[in-house]
Amino acid sequence: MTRRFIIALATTLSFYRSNKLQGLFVLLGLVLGCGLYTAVAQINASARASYAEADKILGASSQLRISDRQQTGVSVDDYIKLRRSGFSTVYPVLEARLPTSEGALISFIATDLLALPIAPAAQETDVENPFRGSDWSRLTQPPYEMWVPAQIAKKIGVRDGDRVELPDGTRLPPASIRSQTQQNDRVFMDIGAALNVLGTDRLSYLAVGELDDNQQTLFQEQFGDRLALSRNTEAFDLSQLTQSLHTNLTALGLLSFIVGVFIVFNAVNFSLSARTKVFRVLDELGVPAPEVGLAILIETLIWSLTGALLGTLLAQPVSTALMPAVASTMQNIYGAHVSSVPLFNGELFLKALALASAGLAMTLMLPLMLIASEPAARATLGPIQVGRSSSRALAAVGTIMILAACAIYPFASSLIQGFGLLALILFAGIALLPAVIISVAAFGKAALGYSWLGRWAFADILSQLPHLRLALMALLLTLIANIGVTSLVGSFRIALTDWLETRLSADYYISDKALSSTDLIGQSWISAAHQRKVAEVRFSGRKAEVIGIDVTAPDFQQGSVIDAEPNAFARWINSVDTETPVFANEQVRYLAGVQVGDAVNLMTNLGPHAFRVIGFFHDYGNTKYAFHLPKERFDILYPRAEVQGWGIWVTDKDIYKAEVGLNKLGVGPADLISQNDVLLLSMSIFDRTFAITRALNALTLVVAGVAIFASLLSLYQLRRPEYALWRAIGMRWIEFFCVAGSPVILMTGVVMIISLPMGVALAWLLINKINVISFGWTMPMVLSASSIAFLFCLVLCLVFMAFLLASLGQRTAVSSALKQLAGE
Amino acid sequence: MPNLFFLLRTLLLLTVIPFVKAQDPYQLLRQPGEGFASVVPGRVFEFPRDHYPHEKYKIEWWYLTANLTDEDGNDFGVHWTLFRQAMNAKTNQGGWQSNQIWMAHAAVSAPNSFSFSQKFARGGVGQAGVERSDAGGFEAWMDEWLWRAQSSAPFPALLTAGTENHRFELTLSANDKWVLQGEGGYSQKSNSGQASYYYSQPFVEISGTIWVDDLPFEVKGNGWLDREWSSQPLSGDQAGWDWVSLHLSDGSALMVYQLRHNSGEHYISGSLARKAGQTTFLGPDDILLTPVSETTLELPGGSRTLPLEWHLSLPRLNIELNVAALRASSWLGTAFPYWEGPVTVEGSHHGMGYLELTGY
Amino acid sequence: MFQLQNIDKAFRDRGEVIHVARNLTWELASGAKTALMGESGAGKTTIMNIIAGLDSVDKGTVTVNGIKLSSVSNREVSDYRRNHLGLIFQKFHLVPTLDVWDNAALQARLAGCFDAEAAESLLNRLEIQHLINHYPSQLSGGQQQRVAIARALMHRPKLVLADEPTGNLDEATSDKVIELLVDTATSVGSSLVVVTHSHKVASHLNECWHLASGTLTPSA
Repeated sequence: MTRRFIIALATTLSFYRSNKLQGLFVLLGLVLGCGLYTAVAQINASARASYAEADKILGASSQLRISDRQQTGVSVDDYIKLRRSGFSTVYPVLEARLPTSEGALISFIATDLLALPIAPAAQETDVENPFRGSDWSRLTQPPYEMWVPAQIAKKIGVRDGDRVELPDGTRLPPASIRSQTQQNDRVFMDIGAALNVLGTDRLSYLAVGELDDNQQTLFQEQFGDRLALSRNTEAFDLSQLTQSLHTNLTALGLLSFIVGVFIVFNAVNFSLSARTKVFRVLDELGVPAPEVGLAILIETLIWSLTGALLGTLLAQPVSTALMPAVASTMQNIYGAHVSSVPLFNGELFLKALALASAGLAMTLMLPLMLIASEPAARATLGPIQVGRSSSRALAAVGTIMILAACAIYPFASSLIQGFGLLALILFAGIALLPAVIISVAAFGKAALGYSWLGRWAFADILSQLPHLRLALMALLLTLIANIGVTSLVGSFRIALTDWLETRLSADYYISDKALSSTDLIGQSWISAAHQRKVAEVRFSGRKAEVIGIDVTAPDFQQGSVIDAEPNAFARWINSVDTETPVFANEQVRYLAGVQVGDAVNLMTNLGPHAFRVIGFFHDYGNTKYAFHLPKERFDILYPRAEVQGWGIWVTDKDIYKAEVGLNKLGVGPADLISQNDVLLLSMSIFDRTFAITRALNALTLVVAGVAIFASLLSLYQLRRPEYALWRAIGMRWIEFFCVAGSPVILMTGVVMIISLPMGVALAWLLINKINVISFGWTMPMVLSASSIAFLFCLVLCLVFMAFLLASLGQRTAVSSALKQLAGE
Repeated sequence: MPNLFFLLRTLLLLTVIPFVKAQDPYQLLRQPGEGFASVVPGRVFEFPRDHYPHEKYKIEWWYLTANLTDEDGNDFGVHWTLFRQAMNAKTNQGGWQSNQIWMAHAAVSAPNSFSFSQKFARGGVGQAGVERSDAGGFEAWMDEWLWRAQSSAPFPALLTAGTENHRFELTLSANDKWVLQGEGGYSQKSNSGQASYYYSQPFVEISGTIWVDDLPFEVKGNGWLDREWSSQPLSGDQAGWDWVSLHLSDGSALMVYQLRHNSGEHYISGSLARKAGQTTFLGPDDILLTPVSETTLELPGGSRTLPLEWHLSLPRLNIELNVAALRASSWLGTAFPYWEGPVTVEGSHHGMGYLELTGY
Repeated sequence: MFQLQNIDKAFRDRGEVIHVARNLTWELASGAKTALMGESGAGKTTIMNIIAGLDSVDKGTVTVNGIKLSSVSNREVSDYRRNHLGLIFQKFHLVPTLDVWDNAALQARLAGCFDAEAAESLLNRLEIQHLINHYPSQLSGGQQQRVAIARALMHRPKLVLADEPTGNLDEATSDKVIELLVDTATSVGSSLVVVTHSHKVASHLNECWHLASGTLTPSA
């Protein structure tokens, strides 16, 4: 019996020996789908691992932070005092983000390596000796040394020994391409070097591991009036904030997986229908159906395991390629320090492998078993009948899905529900596809009654549809996703640009410690200056900012307020209400569920205070809540608020004079950024952030193209006798490829037509549901006809290329098939 | 958890400073002191100036050891050190750019426990140093460990320091009769010329409190301050040294050190000081120092075998002593690992002292 | 009509070499109605393919309708088939997505000589006029073959090659079909070669040739 089974297995598998291409496609689909999904999973895991480490700095615990109550930054004096008072696990940290003169943005971290806390010596363990080597001297003495991680060195084009230049001409220390624990994508310097190079005498903050109650009491007694001790909630904040982004990434990964599965389905369908004879023969030879089924099961397992293994291996280079973009997104939006080199996680690898294998095995198994158990029945049903009946059923399902989506829309409030809506739209589209194609084919045939060639081409759609159906569905899926995401990104870009241009009308933004108001008085090159004061508070479990707005400043815009109470603005300025009116950003509305007219309690320097939200404003991309108060009111409630800086308008746009003037006032490169730079920086950050989605979009499109290619190949193979007939009755090659090819193009056209409304619906959902649920803000949807047109052209080219490639060598194949037309 | 931090820190330092020769931190002391000031004979010592750092020399330390007893007669040992190293021979620019690095050790040997602590700090920013305070007093400190004297000389002073389990606050007093070791403070370490400037105060009277896990013990006893600086204290073929300082029952203070050569011929030297002020220099012919027994200590980094019992003979002075470690557990697994702990003296004289074994 | 001159054709089948034609010469005049018979595997289909330009010869020349098939381009062979040749197969080979009318008209349209009236009368002759809106899957075997015959004759080819045209049909239908084939071919003026192993079928035709071991011999 085993011998018989092995023979049966060998027989069913022998198919792939003569149809290596089919085998390749099954593998390709598995690998691509699996690979992309695993790559995304790995990216997510790497990023999350970094968040978990957010309560550490370069390997040392930083669960608590010490900051100055009044100033930005802690003085070195206070740091030394703390250490001499017995807080010897406190260490200094300087963090900065500076643009280089070439426009790259570098994140710095500096500390005193000698001061990083070590736990009480675990007796008898040898420790490495800092009292030797020239490394320490190089790091701490001019010209100092800057440790640049390899991936950053590559990104900004820096080699060993290079000195990066800042816009004002300052040269940073010579680079050394090396990195240490948790340095991730930051450049490291010794703290003394950083203080010197950046021209400051204050540390960003002091970090310390846990302090017990006694120590905390001691701290408050001795230093509490000047210094604040706060818990570092960054790890918690980060994982909360980034959840949405990671879910989005996962969704894109899933999309790839599904498209990959489509390819596999297609290849497997073909490989099975091509083997119906084989199954019948086996049946006639007395191999019982369960054994044939088992043979197929084993085949499934072999494919799943191989595909999953290769896919997870492929994930490595893919995630390595995508990680830098993810790291920069995390950095820019959330301030999270994620390495742009993904962490290879053995456990993840195995888990992904297992999941992929299981998932694939299940998806493959059902159709395999169905088809294997009724080969004869399947053979008698003409392909057209199968197409028609199932397409009607699918169309019904698709319509139900659309109706369901409409019904659920108003109630969807969680991310999962939002994605569920997206899935409904996506799958409704693909469910409707076959029916629409068939209708178009029928309509075309009728409309083109006068042209027999046209009729033939439309009629051929019905012959090709069953074979291309899955690939076209995959294409539709990716098109809808592409249109949706592209529209989202496009709308965001426009909204952001508009918003930035109105908000950033000052010519220069200068950080406060560089200037005081006395410095600015009387400077002829200044036409206006606006001081920005911010108080950091917490609201509804997240970081929040209260900002004092100077209504007389040139950049104050009333227009950005949305959905306010009547006369809100006047009331806000005059503050006559008993409850202090305040404007809040959209995030407060969507994420904290606050409505216009609601009261909110915020901590002020005078204690808790009740405010009343009288309106909201757009605040794109802000991960914190924000509240705006008029400056006068703000100064009363937050007298100790941090001055973040100045916005300066330059007279007559005389930039040169301004630069000279600022220089004279001692404003260094770390303190100053011009409007143009901010705009450029913001947009480049934006573009880099969305690079990931663009990459994934492009990849899924390519995968869909491959699906079409594969289907066309199998189509050619299956229809070879018919194609041979066409040639036998004298059809020319040109005519042949026109008739064979135009259905593909026509069907692609239908795909594009369906994708448009569905893609727009998806974009709408992304903007008004997903974005709101995830990030708490929305924007006007702007569809770019040119991007969509470009996308469609791209798809047509892709399909055309797929057709061309598939058609290579068909002439020979068809010609040899001519001989087989006749005969038994 | 502590082990994890420790390990991380170790790893961190491994990346900071790759080591030249695996497993031997003492190589630093063998490197020729290029550019640094040289130790030459004939130097005139000036106090209190010489109590303070000599930045042109590569290595320097302030070294206190103390044998103390509590009210019940239990023996405690305390050792506190501040090391200074100059990273290069250039002028010290001060501030964060200072080319001086400090390391401090504290160790307490209590009847039933032993612990040590190691700290590092860079110079120039006020975290560590030896300086005159604003009031003019001698201060040697790192973080909260502080030796604060009332005058510009180290004594009298209050020393507060501690380890995780042991803290101490000791009042130190001594006269200003400084013992210049070797020849007028020029202490030769080998036949090829390696030497250091070395002076001591062997007669320090100490009283104070030691807390063992927050339990206070009032203690009293004798201490010994060593001051030494050099730019190359070890020659290339010297593995390390054995040093012993003893307070003998006749009121004298004996110091012997032996520099061990790889070839076997060790360089030995010492001094015998009296409180009244006379010091007898002891040369290689005057001293016989032989290990009597060895003890193998099981340590996390591996086991080490150390001679914790010695026979010290000064034939011309009729001194025959058996020096034995009070407790074996005094290994300091620090950046420069060594054994340092209290010893008992028997034989022609008795007493207490401290033994230091390096380079094992 | 066509002329096979000294042709050699052999092919490998599972390690054995089968000689279909050994120095074979065969001529057919215009208007002939010929049967080509032989054992299974003798190579009748191959000979037919050679005449149709669907297969090549190892040696010798094939001239059809004055065209030397070996010396013209693929395109010209294809054109030759399109304009001057009608093919009928045992498996019918109709285009499943086209109705009877479009199937029958297919080759004529490709050849550019489709005439609706002539088409109608041809279909009438073949008694399938009432089926023009049906699809091949809705027809019986005999009906399908008649559509194939219509397709093969509608462009009035010089030569019609039929390979076992009644192979998939029952006896009664076979008779009917072969009658119609001969009749319609005559009416259109085409020569006809029918490959068959049935003597009954061969009896409808004027000549009969027998292929065995690479040589053709006329039968009575």
